[in-house]
Amino acid sequence: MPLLPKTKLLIGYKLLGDTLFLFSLFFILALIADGLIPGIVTNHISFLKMIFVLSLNLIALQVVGHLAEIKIATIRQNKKTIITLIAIGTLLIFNSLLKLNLYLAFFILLLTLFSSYFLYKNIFLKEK
Amino acid sequence: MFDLTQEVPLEKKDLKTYRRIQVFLYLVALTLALFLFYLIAFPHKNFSFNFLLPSSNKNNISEPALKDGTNLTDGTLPGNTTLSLNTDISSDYSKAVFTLNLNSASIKSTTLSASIRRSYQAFMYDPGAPIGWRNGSLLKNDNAYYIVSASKLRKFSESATVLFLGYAENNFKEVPKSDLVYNEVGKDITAEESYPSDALFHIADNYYILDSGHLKKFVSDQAYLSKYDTSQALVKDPSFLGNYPATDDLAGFSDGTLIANADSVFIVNGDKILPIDNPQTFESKGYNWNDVLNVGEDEIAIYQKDKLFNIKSPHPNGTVFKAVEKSDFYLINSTQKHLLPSANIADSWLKKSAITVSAKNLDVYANCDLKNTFWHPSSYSCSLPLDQFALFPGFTFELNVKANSNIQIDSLNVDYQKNITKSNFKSFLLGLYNSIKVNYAPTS
Repeated sequence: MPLLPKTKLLIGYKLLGDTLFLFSLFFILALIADGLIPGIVTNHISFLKMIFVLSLNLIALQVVGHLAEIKIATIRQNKKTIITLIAIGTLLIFNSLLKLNLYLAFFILLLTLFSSYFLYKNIFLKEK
Repeated sequence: MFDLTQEVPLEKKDLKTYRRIQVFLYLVALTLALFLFYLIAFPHKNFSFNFLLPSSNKNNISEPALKDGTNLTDGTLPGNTTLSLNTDISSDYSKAVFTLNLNSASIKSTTLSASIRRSYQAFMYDPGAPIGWRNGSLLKNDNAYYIVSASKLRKFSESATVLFLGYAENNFKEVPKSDLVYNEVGKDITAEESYPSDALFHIADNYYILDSGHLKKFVSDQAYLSKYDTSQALVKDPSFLGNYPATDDLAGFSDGTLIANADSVFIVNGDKILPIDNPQTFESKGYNWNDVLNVGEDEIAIYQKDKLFNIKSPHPNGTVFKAVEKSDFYLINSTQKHLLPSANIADSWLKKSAITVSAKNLDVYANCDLKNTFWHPSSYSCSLPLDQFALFPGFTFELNVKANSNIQIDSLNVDYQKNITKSNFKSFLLGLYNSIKVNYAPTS
């Protein structure tokens, strides 16, 4: 028998979805801000703490979803979101390489993008 | 309305509950975001010391001590004595909230007061005796000629001795008699005795100083010039080295000289060099980039690297401060501040810019009486306004605490805060702009 009635679990699940959105938004904004001006956010909250809270939220979401017997159909990947995330990631990586020689920075950036793509292909697309 | 989990439907009643909590959640998130923005735009800087755990690495105030220098590691502050502690910060704050947590057994009716002043830590050192001319100085007054040797003022017994030793008129600096009283008087120099210690020579493109009958070569011309002028050295031919053999030891730069090698800047302190941790520390300590001498590997190799010089480090020996009010100069030596009694004497110690200070500022204090806080019966706190110190040179705040009877302190805390004002917000924006400029503007 579940600890809480299903309706409460459903409300909890929906609220955990909201907190995940808020934490993710905060994490991305913090990543961009700290990439531009190192220390502006991490002097107050470390990325380790942010990742810890995000992970806890994800675990809680999974647990509550399981308890409430929520089955979500796999959502088709949103191309726009993926392109935006790749663009932000590329800019952040390039930003961290700014002090290097420009050609070396581009070379490392391309190498990182290729490695990430092949890693993704190996891990996520293998089953397909 | 905004729903991220539309695939999880709720009944009308539950949806209402969810919406209420969701609004509350987003309001809390907004409040926390605003609070974080406040912390970023109007930052706090916290310093604390726990006398119950004196060796804890969370203590970021080093060695709270009594005003006479006695360490206070157990937290017992005798009545009517002053506890003094230094905190170093690198920007301006609006106020310092000072909190003392007393041992509950020691709480009784006692009056606690705190005061704060701002300057450079080394400039707040106790004054020592005035210091006279630097060793090796050649001076004249009323046809009497002198050399400063081993800190003593030694007179050449007669003009003929001066000529006999090879000195010329232009080697000596004319000074008033009043400037000759700050070095202990040594015995006269006679022709028979020859050159005294600290005599300076220029032999085959190298500079030497006489040290215990041996010539010590300067590691470079710029090392010599960091202490002396070219006119102070007697030109000799290499055969002179036969009379006074040269030692393997090399003479280095003047204490307090700023030297740079590769991307690092160091401060010379005796036979050691202190690496400065970052440009902010360099500038917050009042140093001038134009005073940095670029040195080669051979020049830096004669020194041992000491610990990092950071915002908390006091200026080392050899630092010269110039008080703007009366153009007084002070030399730091062995944690004392020595007056250099005249501009001429200061000139013998100073071959780069002095660090500008205000002697008057040392007497400017902000005061407050500590009151019992409502949230903790053994906690006493007060707020010290810092606006009056805004333009003062130096970023060390010396905090003094006094009680009229014996108290046992468990811990103390100083929280520097910025008020929410237009000018503080402007300075935050300026700081952001400067950070972006440092990170992204191309360096010439």
